[in-house]
Formats: sequence, C-alpha cells, structure tokens
Amino acid sequence: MFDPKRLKQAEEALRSLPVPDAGARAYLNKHIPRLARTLALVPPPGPTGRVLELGCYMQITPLLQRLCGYREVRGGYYGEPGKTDQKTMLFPDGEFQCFVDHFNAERDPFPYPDGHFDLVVAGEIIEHLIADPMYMLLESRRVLHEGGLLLVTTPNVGSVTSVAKTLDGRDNPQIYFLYNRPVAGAETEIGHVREYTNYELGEAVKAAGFEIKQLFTTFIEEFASHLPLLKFLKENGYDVENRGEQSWCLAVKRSSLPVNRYPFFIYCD
Amino acid sequence: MTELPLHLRAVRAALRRLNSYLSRRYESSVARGNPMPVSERPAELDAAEEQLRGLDLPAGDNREYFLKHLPRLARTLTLVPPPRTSGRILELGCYMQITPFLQRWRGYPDVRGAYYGPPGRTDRAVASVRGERFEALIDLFDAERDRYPYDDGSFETVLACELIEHLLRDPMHLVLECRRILEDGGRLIVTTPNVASLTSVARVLHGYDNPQISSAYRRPQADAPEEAPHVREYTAFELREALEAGGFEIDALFTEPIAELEMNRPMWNFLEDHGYNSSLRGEQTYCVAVKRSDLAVTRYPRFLYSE
Repeated sequence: MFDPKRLKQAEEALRSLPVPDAGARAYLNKHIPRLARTLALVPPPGPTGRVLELGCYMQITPLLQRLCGYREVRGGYYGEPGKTDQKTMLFPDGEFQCFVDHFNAERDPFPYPDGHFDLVVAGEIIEHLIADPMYMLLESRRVLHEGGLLLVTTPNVGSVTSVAKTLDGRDNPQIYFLYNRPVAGAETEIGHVREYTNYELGEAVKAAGFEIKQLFTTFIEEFASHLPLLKFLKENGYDVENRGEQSWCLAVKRSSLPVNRYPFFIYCD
Repeated sequence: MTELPLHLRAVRAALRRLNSYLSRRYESSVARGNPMPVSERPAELDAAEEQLRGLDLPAGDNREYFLKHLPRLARTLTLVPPPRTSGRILELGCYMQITPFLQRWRGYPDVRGAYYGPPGRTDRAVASVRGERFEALIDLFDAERDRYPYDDGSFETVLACELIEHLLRDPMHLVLECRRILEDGGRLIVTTPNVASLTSVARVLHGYDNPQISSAYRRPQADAPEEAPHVREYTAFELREALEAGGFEIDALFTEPIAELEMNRPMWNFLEDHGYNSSLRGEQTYCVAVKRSDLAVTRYPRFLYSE
C-alpha cells in the first residue's frame, strides 16, 4: 500500500517542515504518521500538474510540490467565498507559494473550471461536514479531469477500537468524539459530525462516480491496546479486514460511471 | 438508487443475507427465551399513549413521525413529575407534540417552549387535542450558545428531548443553562439515542454499517436553513457523566429498545456469553436528573471537550 522509500522521504520532509511555533510542531509531529502516508499515496502529476488540497493546513501542502512534483498547488479552506489568501513558506533552498481559496466545501461551487486538476486531496475533512458530504465529493469530481484522482482520508468508525468501545459500552465508538472548547469572539471549529466505516467511505466515493483504486485501513499506534480483539472477531466469525482506525481511499474519476446524489446510508428520504 | 448489474446485485443480496445472519444467529444458537430484560411496563405508559393519541394532526409526514415515535413520547411524559412549586415547565426543542399534555395531563399550569432561532423572538404556537385548542409561547434562541431568556430558578422541570445529540459546538452550555434556570431540586429530563446499544454492537461487529443510531443527513432544501444531523450520540454512561458534570444528581437512567431495531436484540446474548457488560443496551436512553446547588460543576468534561 505504501512504498517504504516514499514513506521515509515524506516523514523526513515533514519533520524538517518550517513551522511557526512549538504548538504547531507538536501537532505536526503527532500527525506525521498519517501525513507521511497521505503523501506516499499521492500519485505522480498528470497532464495539468495541478493539485487541490481541501482543508489546506500548510502541512503536506508545500510537499505536494517539493516532494510529489506538482507544478501548481491550490488550497481550499472553510470561509466566505470570494476570498483568497496567498501563503508563503520559506525553505532553506527557496520559497514555496500557493493560493488558498475560501469557500464552504459542502455548499459553495468550488471556484475552479471543470476538469482543472489532476488530483484532489480531502484529508480528514468529510467527517466534519454538517450538511451535505456528497456535495463535496461531486464538486471534487467536477473539478477533476477524466481519469483524475481523489484521495480521501478519514477515521474508521468500524475499526477494532470502535468494536472495543462498543462492546465495553461506556465510551463513544467514534475515533474522535470531542468538541472544541468555545473561545469568546471566535467561531468554534466543529468536531467530527459523522464518522464513516471503511465500507461506507468506499460506497460514498463510488456513489459520486469514482472507481475505487485503493480502499484500506491502517492502525493508529495510540489505540494498539485494542489489537487483541481482532482475534476475538475472527473466532466469532466476524470480518477482520479493514479494522484499522484510519481509512484511506484513492479513486479515479470516470465520467461513464453513474452518480447517486443521495445515497440511502448518508441521507434520509 | 441506480440499478446495479445483475451480478453485483446478487453479491449485495448475499452480503445483506450474511449481515442479518450474523446478527441473528444468536437467536438460534442460544436457546434462551427473550433476550435482554426490559423494564416493566408501568400502567401509566398506556395512559400516556392514550392521551397522546388525542393530538389532532392532519395525515402526513408529521403524523407519521408522531405515531412512529409514540412509544418514546409516551415514556417521556411518564417521566415528568407532577408540579410541586411554581408549576412552570420548559420544553427545549418544542415540537408541540407532548407539549399540550404537559398541561392537560401532567398538570403544569405554565408550559413554555423553546426552539432554535434568532434570540429575542417569541412565537405563539397552537395545537389541538380532541378539538380543544392549546397555545404556548415559544422563545427562539440557540440552546448551545445563547443565555436562555429566563431568570435563575424559574422552572421546576426542564425537558431536553432528542436535542443534545444535534449540538454542534457546546453541549455543556445547554446542561448548565438548564441548571441555572431550574430551582434547587428541580428536574431535567433528557432523552437521546444510545450509541452503545445492541444495534450499535451489531453494526460495529459486522463492520459495515455506522454504529450511530442515526447517521443520516437531511437532504438540503433550497430555502430552508441547514438542520444538523446527529452530531454526537452518547452512550448512557456518557450521558450520566455529562449531567453529573453539570451539577445534577441522577434520579433515573435507563434505556429501552426501539421496535424497528428489534432484529439486533439477540446481541444481548452475545454480550452476556462473552462477559461484556449487558446493561443499558436499549437504543433509547432516558435520564431524569435533579439539580443540586451544592454539587460541583465541571465546565469541560474530558470525555466531551478537547484540552
């Protein structure tokens, strides 16, 4: 699933990423295993050399160019449509620059023409949407060219950790279930509204007219104490595939595939 | 839904059969009567249902919803204690379903409603029970952000039914505002789905379906505001912890099965057989909590907020 050489390169690049402060460094370090894997899954640039990163945090962003070779990196971030930030990051061997457009990924038209990108990365975003997740997938499809790729990462609520917590009965089965403490005068960032099982993620992406290239999960180290439960699942005849806490999905846009705007497992009638 | 090719439909049908087999096989393999003990049905419950059936609702979506949720609404009504002091009761997320019966049947002279909306506005809502008109004032505000427009200690009972699971930002604000406007010894009644129910167990073991009782978004409507789906469902244990953190003492905490999810009942035997806790496993949680002024408050419980 992951090329070990690319994974190692990505980890090193992330570790030496210039960050503004110690807090940002701590956050980055915690998420390096996931971010490095994300980078390792990024396919080589296609005909346009353009990539769109939704929920752009300037972590993997510069590396999409420096490591993965994309000519133009564009970011999308939640906010009032029409505003675009220019972001700059200084590396020892030069400057990385990109534009980050503000829009609401589940409501606003993405401000790009049809077929504009080779790749759309939606890392850890679909679980935060409050109204219309299929909108995001369908707009991603629109701005991709035929054969372009969509990379989605999100927690897996069908993981062995979710099993452990549900069997125990006390704790919440979601991988992440915390609210952010409200800060006076600022809009609170919304937590995980809906987590997906790995199967649900695949079905949602397929419903948006993509063909799945890779759909799998990996385990997150901090939950390793739940791993023995895999044996229990197996002994009792339950599926042990795709029980890691982190879901990965890489899918290809195929114009010939049908679209299901409102899959029954995501929307009520 | 798009029609799949025949061979894929066959695969899907097989998977569905396997799914129901996996969750039901306990029925056949364990020769035990009715799994999961269910709390005794109080005589009051029948009376509550009988009352509720008197609500005049034209045939349509609302009536269908009402009838589907009748068992929960009836159970909720039975949890409302008789008025003892001010006779004032507040229903948060007021849909004018149980609302008239808080007065007519439970005997509260002063029933107030609240609903999500811009603070400062008060609507007059009307319902009818067996042809008899009932009116209530409904104050609009955001239950997880605004200060509730009521004085300290001004209610003896507050209802927050099927509401806490929809909050996007700050559920403890709701719990603490309820505490503020309740008199000492006043009761807060909370109902919410149970995300550690037998249905959640069945789904998570199978691994394909979402463990939340409801994980569906509303289809977006052109002019209507977005309505948040279930943002965070609670285990019964979590609900207790949240209310205790809000300075309440738990008077009653129990769960009940939801009829349409009955096929997952055999999972109770699975839990028992493998030594897992089998209590509080119904899909619907009910909690009655008493405000105690002398209890400490935790504004940000660790299981609910990040540091």
